[in-house]
Amino acid sequence: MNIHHFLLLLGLPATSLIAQGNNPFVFFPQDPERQTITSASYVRRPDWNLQAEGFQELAASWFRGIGDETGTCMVRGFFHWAADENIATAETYGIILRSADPTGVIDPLVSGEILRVSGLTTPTAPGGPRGSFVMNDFFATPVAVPCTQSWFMGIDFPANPAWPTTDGHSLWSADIAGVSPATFGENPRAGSPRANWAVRPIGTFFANGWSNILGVRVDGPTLHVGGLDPTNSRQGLGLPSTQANIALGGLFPDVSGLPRADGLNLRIQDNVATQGLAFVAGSLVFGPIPVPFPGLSGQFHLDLSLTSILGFGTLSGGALDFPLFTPGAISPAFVGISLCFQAAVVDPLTGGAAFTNAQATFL
Amino acid sequence: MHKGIVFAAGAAVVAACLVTVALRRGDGAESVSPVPPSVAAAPAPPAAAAPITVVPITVVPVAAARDPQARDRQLELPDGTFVPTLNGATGALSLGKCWGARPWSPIERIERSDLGIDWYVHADGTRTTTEMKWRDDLRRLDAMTRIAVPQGEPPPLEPRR
Repeated sequence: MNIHHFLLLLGLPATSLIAQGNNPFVFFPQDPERQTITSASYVRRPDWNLQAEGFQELAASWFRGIGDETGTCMVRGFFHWAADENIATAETYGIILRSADPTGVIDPLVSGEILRVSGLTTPTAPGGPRGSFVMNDFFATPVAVPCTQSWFMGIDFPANPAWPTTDGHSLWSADIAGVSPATFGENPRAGSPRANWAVRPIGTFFANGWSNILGVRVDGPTLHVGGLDPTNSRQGLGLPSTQANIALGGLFPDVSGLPRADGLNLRIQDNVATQGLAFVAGSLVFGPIPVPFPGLSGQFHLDLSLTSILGFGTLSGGALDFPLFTPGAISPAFVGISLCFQAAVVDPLTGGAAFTNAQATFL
Repeated sequence: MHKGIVFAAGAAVVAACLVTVALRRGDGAESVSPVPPSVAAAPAPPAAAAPITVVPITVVPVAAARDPQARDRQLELPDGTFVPTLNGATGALSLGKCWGARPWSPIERIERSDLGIDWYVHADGTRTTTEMKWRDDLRRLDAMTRIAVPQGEPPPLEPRR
């Protein structure tokens, strides 16, 4: 049975979920809403204490349909974990979304700005000097972002000479091994592409070797590919064997056997259908154009002709870790292959259903 | 749902896909800029606390808040009551729609930050506010509803680059 017949047979009613930016789409080794963060290396700014914008890349070859509301992809807010070296004083920042230039790299020009909201501040609180806030910034009017093209989501930091000695705002960060002395952090395969960028005011930009707890708030459920490396101690010790790295470790796992033989799973997250039923599909490529299905919000972003239903599972507390391959199960012969995944989450309480974003993994 | 069955089915289908297409190659790799070398971080001495202004809150009667003229300047809470928006905001999203799955925590007071922004302070320490911010994409000011949840001690500072 192909995905088209399968979804039509579900007979889903044409209901939709409440559209208010229910879920943050964050690219970080762990789920900051439901897991204890043990993979953070440091707090960092994109370019030390200089003015710079820090971005997570959302390449079209990596992700499709983030924020898809059935034909238009919408960002309804922003989420980040703000560290502050002195929480008795407020810090200023901006939210910025950028498009890619025709070559696929970040467009640092004004014309590349999809959204800029400046002059936001953190609150103040007792108990410092150091502290953190989970910042949730919701827009009354959402902003449209590309559904099938590359774009970038980030924070604009003003210069702050007080940072790091006495004060200042920074981001929770997970470093790639070798970037810093940190023993906790990211876990992609050696030599993988970097996905985090800094843009300086003069328009130059460079890649940083880490992931940050930041992301856009979208309506629909989210999906991340997780890399399962049983030798990974960078995510903390004593974790459940199902806890994968859902950032660079899932996007760029090591199945070469030299040295790792990672497994894969998918993490599906939803703050609406927290006990929902997730149907998972896989394909070899994204589709040429996204396809809407009656009764589901969002669109299907995999290639219908190459898609297979992989199974289903029930979310618990707003998340499902869906197993694909145990460590060692993927032959090194498949190095260089890419796979794409997407899910649909059905809410048994309302009958509403929504597609997640789609994501690729590069073996 | 039996995870063993899911795994077996999922693995079998994906494995079949892998075998079928073993010709697809290339991982989307892009050029990577070198990362500057690190040096040790400087220690962070504590800084002096700034004054915080505490203001009593005004709870708006529900009937008054539903007046269309007044509604734009009211913030609906998850418990169905209303309070005035802060910082002159109009048309902000309801806090009930933004609060999320956490248990509702009542507002206790208003604090004004050292940068002059008023925040509602909730019993659990959460700070919430509303503001108008310029949006180039809209070419006008637009309301924001903002929620800051205390998260405790952050990780160490990055090594100096």
